[in-house]
Order: sequence, then structure tokens, then C-alpha cells
Amino acid sequence: MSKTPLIQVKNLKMYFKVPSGLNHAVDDVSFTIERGETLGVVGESGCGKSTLGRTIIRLLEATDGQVLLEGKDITHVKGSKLRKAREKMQIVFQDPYSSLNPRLRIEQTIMEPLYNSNRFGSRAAIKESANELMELVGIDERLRMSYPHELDGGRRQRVGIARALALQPDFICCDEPVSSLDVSIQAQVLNLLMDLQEKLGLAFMFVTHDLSVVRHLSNNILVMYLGQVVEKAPTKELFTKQLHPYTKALLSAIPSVDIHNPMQRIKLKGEITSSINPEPGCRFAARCTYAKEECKQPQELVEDTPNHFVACCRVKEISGL
Amino acid sequence: MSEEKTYLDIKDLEVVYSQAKKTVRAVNRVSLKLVKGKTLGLVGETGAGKTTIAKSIMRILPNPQAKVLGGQIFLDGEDLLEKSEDEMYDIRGTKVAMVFQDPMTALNPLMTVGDQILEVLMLHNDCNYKEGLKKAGEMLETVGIPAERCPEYPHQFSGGMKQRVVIAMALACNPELLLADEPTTALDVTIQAQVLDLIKELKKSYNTSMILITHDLGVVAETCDDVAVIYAGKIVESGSKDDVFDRTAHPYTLGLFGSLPSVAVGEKRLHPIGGMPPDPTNLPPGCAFWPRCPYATEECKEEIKFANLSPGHFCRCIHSDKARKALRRKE
Amino acid sequence: MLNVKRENQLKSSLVGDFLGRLMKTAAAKIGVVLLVFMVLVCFVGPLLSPYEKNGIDLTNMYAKPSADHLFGCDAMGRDILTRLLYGGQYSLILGLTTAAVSSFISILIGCIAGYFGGVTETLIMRFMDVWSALPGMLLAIMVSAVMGAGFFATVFALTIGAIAGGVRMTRGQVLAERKKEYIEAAESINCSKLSIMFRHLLPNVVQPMIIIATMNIGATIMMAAGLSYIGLGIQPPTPEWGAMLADGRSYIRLYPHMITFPGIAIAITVLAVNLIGDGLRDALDPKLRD
Repeated sequence: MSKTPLIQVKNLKMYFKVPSGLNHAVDDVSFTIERGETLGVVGESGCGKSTLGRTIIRLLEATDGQVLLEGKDITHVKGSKLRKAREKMQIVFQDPYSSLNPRLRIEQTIMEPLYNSNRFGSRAAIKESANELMELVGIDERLRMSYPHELDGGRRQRVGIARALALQPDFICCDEPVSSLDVSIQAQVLNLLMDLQEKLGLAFMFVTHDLSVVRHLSNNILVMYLGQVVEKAPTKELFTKQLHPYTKALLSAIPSVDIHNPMQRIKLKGEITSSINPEPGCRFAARCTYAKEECKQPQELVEDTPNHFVACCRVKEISGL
Repeated sequence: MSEEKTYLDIKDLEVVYSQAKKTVRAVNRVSLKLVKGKTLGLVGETGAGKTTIAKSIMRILPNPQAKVLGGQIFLDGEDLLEKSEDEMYDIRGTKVAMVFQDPMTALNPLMTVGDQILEVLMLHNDCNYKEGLKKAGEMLETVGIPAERCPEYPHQFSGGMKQRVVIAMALACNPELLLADEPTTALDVTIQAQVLDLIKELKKSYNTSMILITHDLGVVAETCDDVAVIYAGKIVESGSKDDVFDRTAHPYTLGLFGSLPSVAVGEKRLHPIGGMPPDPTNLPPGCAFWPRCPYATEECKEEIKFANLSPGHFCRCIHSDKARKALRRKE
Repeated sequence: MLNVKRENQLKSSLVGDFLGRLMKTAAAKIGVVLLVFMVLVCFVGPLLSPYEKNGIDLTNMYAKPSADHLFGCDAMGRDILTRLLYGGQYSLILGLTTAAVSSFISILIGCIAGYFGGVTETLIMRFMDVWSALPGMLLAIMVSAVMGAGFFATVFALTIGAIAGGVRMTRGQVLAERKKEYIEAAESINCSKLSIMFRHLLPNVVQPMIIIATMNIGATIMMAAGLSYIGLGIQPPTPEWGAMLADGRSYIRLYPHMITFPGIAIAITVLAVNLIGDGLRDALDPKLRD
């Protein structure tokens, strides 16, 4: 008895026209997310992870490929079908400062999605629901009529989370939700997200550059570089054995607090280039120590060990080195 | 390891900001020592006062909002707070230089990169244009950028390279003290690794003393010799890296380490520090951390002294024994 | 951050916050005082005056300032002070109405252009380009000549001249604001396009326009005076500062009081409004916030 996965992404492409040509922001990405699961998407600037999230929840419309929600193709839907789909997929943004309308009290911000949908009844009922949501995310009663500028980053982020929960979605795209927060607050907000996931059975796509955070929350991880998926694996598997040279470099680049076992750093040469008018083949080749001629060919995501995919033609040779 | 020369000695520094009718006590009687050639990591969260300390050393605090109410900053024996603006002008760039956090805004977008390094050289080194240009090219090479890129503008460089240019500018006159304010926070992780390596190499070859301001304990572990942890404008713990990382004493520092995701591997939930950062206009009496501290008692509301736990290791907490015991039981 | 009391909540409503900050600068305080003074004087003053606004008294033609007529009389013996006060009513209302109407229209068009983008934006902006190629005053004169004289025609003429700049300003603001995440958030929670424009975008782009509009009041008053000076706009015998200037034009040497007092009235009003505009700019600048 196979259950339909909640989210299915098939060969998704998102290209943008820019003055100098075409930006291949998301290039041929495929994955599934089951109900209640978390997919971590990691990568650095320009890898396309934020664009990917926005394309899935239909803030952007894909150039090519498919996005399926509970088996239904929502890639290009419009009108009321789009609105219905959107109620099931929400987003928490990175910047707690610009993701809330500075002119609305936080109660109004949370009530707004409830107004937009006609499922939530009278004004009084909506106010009640909003209060419940604020309690759920831990916003003190005294602060419920505040304006965003009166709250600190951590609290603002909780408001953003409450807003995302308002329409009772099944899936939330968390776009670097804690990167802008202080270290001691990050852990609080992450715990909140995990609690909510357990309580409400939410599926997450957790977009971040911070591998240590994603290790904690995700069931599976997608590693992206300049729009391409370079490695895809269950979390435990990825942290035990990295196959792609970029994943290895990424992991080794994180400064470790273990002063007695310093990380053996893999040095990468050069800078992150760009996904505008890219050459065919592996986009990491320019910085890769193992790059050879065959890396200029388009790379396929190949299953190495069960469920562990990598897009590198030299992976067998490299692991043998 | 014994009597190394103290190069920078900050004594009881007190800085306040006046906003509207509120006073923010940004730095509350901070004392720090830095040995020549070593790197001190200054760790704390937003608003703890780290950048204020750095700006106080450089005497570039915003005027009139910020006021130095007291204290002394001895650089190689001379009190910087007593110097005139002219004297500070000579010191900045040559003796003390600063690398700021955001490379995107630290460079003038209308000047070429070469010109910006040249400006530093000509202002402080009395060299002529030709010599300066040559030196600027050499500085770019030192930070790993080809000298031919001197006539390019900042927007033509990536974030990581912009930060390298900023570092080149800071080191152009071979300062004895480098203040780096979150130099890699805005950079991607793989680029951060490159820039940190660069900073370490340069520090070694120039024998620069450095204060590295950061909130990232991993960065501290990699680059620093000594560590000072600052909370609500007060140093709560300071010592060598080994002291602070292996023999952590203050509950706040313990909380910082504990809330790291890498530490909670295998467990479901993370262990954040409870509560919220304090309101800088309305700090709790005594130890500013007591509202969030699991070991707090009534005595914590009194002024806590900086206690010497072992040679070089200081902690501002009367319950550090309890905290460390609790940690040992957990392990 | 944990001590948000009731009073704080009320005070920190954005309007209260804004007014508080407006009155901080000395310039703004002076401007507000001056303007309040002018408004009171122009609206209450006439009730206290023993003279009619059009009371012709041929025995007092060109009379110099005296105890009976504090500012003297004009060519028809009408009391200048009284006419000045009545004229002030027109100028102030004209200035405010024009500023309000033109701001309203420009913000609306600017928002539509900025938010919808694409062909809509291009059409609107190119149209505005053509529109702004004609100097405001010239446009006002043309429209006035076509529409005829009178209050509403004048408001219309002056509004037309002011719109293009406002649209460009608003659109620029909208382009910047549109990229912010709370707009994306509004889309993700199924807000309609209109709701996004009016509830989210507009309130957040309106600030610079308020400043511009306030600054424009001064210019508008001067333009109205200019129109009546050349015989358009408000028609005699209705007193209007510009018309009064025109009347006194030929007599600068002989009877300077006829031109001096209207001139001073215009200067004070425009100064007051500009000072308030400056204060507004500082009050609304988020960077100058604590």
C-alpha cells in the first residue's frame, strides 16, 4: 500500500532572465517529502535553495518540471486552485525584520491569513484562533498588540511562525529561519519548530547553510551548488560518509569547537562563481581538486548506496584515492 | 608562557549611549589584557558591547550619542583615551587598524580598490604616489588577489574578495594591533574558511596582535589564543582558550556551549539558554545573567567580583563550582 | 523588552510616536506655531474685523497704514488687512486641497505602476515622462485658461501640474518595498492583489510622499498667487494674495504697503509649511529613530 508523498518535485527548473543572459537558479531538481518529514536543503550563496523553496510553494512559477502536492500537479495552477494549494503550503522567512509589515500589530498580522480564507468564521472566532496561535508559539499575552519594531528578532520570528501555521498547512518551507538570530535564541526557535512538527504532523523543507542545524532536524538532506543537486542522502548517512567533493569541503569548512580535534580542512581554491549562462557539466569543477575532463559532461544523480545519491562521475575513483 | 609583554591593557572601561531619554550602558567597567602577538577572542551576542569596546580603542565612537564615562586603554604603555584627536589620527592605521563586519558596505563603491589601499598608505606612511601604488599591489597579492586587479571597483569583487581587500587595507601600514569585528560572519562557510586561514597566516608573518570579535565559538576555537566572554557589557569569563573551552566556569558560557546543535548530536531537543537577552536600558541588578541562570540565588543580585579560578582564568560567578559539577555529572 | 505597559502601547501607536518626534526639532516647532497662527488669524480674524472683504470706500483710496486701517487700503479703498485675512483662507485651503488631491492621485497611480509592473508600468511611466516635460506652471496656466476661473478650476489646474513628480517618487518607493519579504508573505497567505497594494504596500510607501506634499503646499500657494497675478485662477473681487500683489505692482514706489503685506503673508505661510516639511522628514526618517 503506497501512500502518495505529500510533496513530489520532478525535474524542477527555475530560470530567470537577467541582462547578461539566463540565470539557471534551479536546474533539474527532484525529490519527495513524506508527511511529517523534514528535508534539509544546504548550500551557500547562489545555490538556489531559497528559489527552490519559493517555487515549490508557488510564490514563483517554475520554468520547467513539476511540483505535485498530494499527487496533484500544482506547477501551473491559477485562481482558486492556487489559493487552495497555498493553504497547504506555507513559508517562514529568514529576516525577522523585513518579513512582518511594520504598520500592522502582530495580532493583525496573524489574523490576516484567517480572514483571507473563508474557513474560519466570524471576527470573534478569528481573534480567538489568533490568540491560540500566539500561545502555541509562545508569545506572551502582554505583547500581542505590539508592533514588530517593539519586539526582538526571536519574538518576531515566532510571529512569522504563527502566521505560517494559521492556515493549518501540511508543509512549511523554512527559509533560514534562525540564521539572523542570536545563538542562544536560535536553539529556542529550533526547539519550537521541532515541537510544532511533532504536535501538528508538519512536513518541513529546511533551507540553510548551517550543516550542524540541519543535522538535528532533518530526515534527509539535499546538498546544492549553483542550482544543481550534488548529493542527496538520509541525514545519518550523509554525516557518516560524504561522497561529493563539495559536501566534504562544506563539512570540513565548519569551524569546530572541539579544540583537541581540529577539523582537517579541505581547501577550496577560487570563489563561488555564478549560475548565469553556465557551462554544461559540473558547476563545482572549477574549484574541485579532483576535476578532470569528464567533469565537463552533464552529471547525473546516481544512487551509490541505497538512498544515497551523488552527482559526480569520479566518485568511485575519488573514494579509492 | 610566563611574563609575556602585555601589549593592550584595558582598565575599567565604561561607555554609555544616550538615546532619547534612555541610557544604554553598553560597556560596564570592562578590563582586558592582550599579550603581544596573541589573538584574543571576544565572544558575545548582539548588544553585549563587543563592537563598542573595539570602537573605543580606535576612538571612533559616535559622538555625541556615545560617551566614555571612565577607564583607561593602555596601548604599549600609553593611554589612548588621553590622546588628542591629532595623536589618534597618527595611531589609527599605523598602530591600530580595524576590519569591519560587513564587507559590502566597508568599501567606498566609487573608488577603485587600489586607490583605497593607496589612500591608507599615503595618509599614514608618507610615501609618494608611485611607491604607494606598488605597495598596494603587493598588499593585494598578500591577501591572494592578483595585483592587476588594483584598478577594479568593489562591485566587481565577490563578498569574500571584498573582505580580503578590507584586510589588505587594514594591514597596509603593518599595524601592531588588529581589531577584527565579526570579519567572517557575512561570508559563506567555505569562503569563511579561506579568510580565516588568511588571517591566521598574516598574523603569523606580521606578528600582529589581534582582537577577534565574534559570536561563533567555532571561529574562536580555530583562531584565538585567549578568550573573553562578554554579557550585557561585562566580561563574565576570561582565560586561555584551553581554560574557557575545557574548564568552562560561567553558567552563560556553559549555556552558549550547551546550545550549540553540534553538541546535542543524538538527542532530540537542543538545550537553549532560557529567557531573553536583557534590555540594555534596564539591566537586572548585580549579575545581568541571573534571570536566565539555572543556578541563580538571591546573592546574585549583588555586585559580583571577578574571581581568579586559576592562573589567568577569571570568572564572574559565585556559583561556578555548582555549574561545573552539574556539567561533569551530565558527561 | 519585557516591560511593555499599557501606556507604552498607546504611546507607541505609530501616529503618537510620529507626532512626538515631529515636535522635537526647533524648526518644526516654529513651523507649527507659525502655521497655527496663520490659520487662526485667517479664519477667526475676519470675524473680528469691522470691514467687509469687498467693502469699497472711495474716500480711502491708497490710504497709508493708520490706526483705522492697520495695513492701509488698496486702489478701491478696501481694507488690506481684512482682504489679506480672507485671501489667506483661500490660499491655505487651496494649498491644502491641491496637496491632498494630487498626493492621493499620484500615490494611487504610482502604486499601480510599481506593483503591477510590466506593460502597465511602462505605459504609465512613459505617459508621466511626457507629462513632466511640460513645466508645472505652464500646465497650470494652460488648464486654467481652458477651464476658466474659480476655485475648483484652480485646484484642478494646480493638481495637474503636481502629479507626475509624485507618481515617479511613489513608484520608486514601491519598487524598493515590493522586494521585502512581508509582501511575499502576504502573497503566500492568499491576500488578493488589491489587498496587498492597499493594506501592505501603500501604508509603507506613503511617508516620503507626505513630506513632498507638505513641501509642495508652499509651492502651490505661490503658483496660485502666480495664476491670479496674471489674471487666471481666482478672479476679482475675491481677495487672493497673488491678485493683491498684482494690484500693488504699479504702485511699488508710491504705495509700497499694497504689495508689502501680501508679500509678507505669502512668505510667512510658505516658510511655516516648509519648516514643518523639514521636521516631518526628520520625524519620519527611520534612521534617525533612537
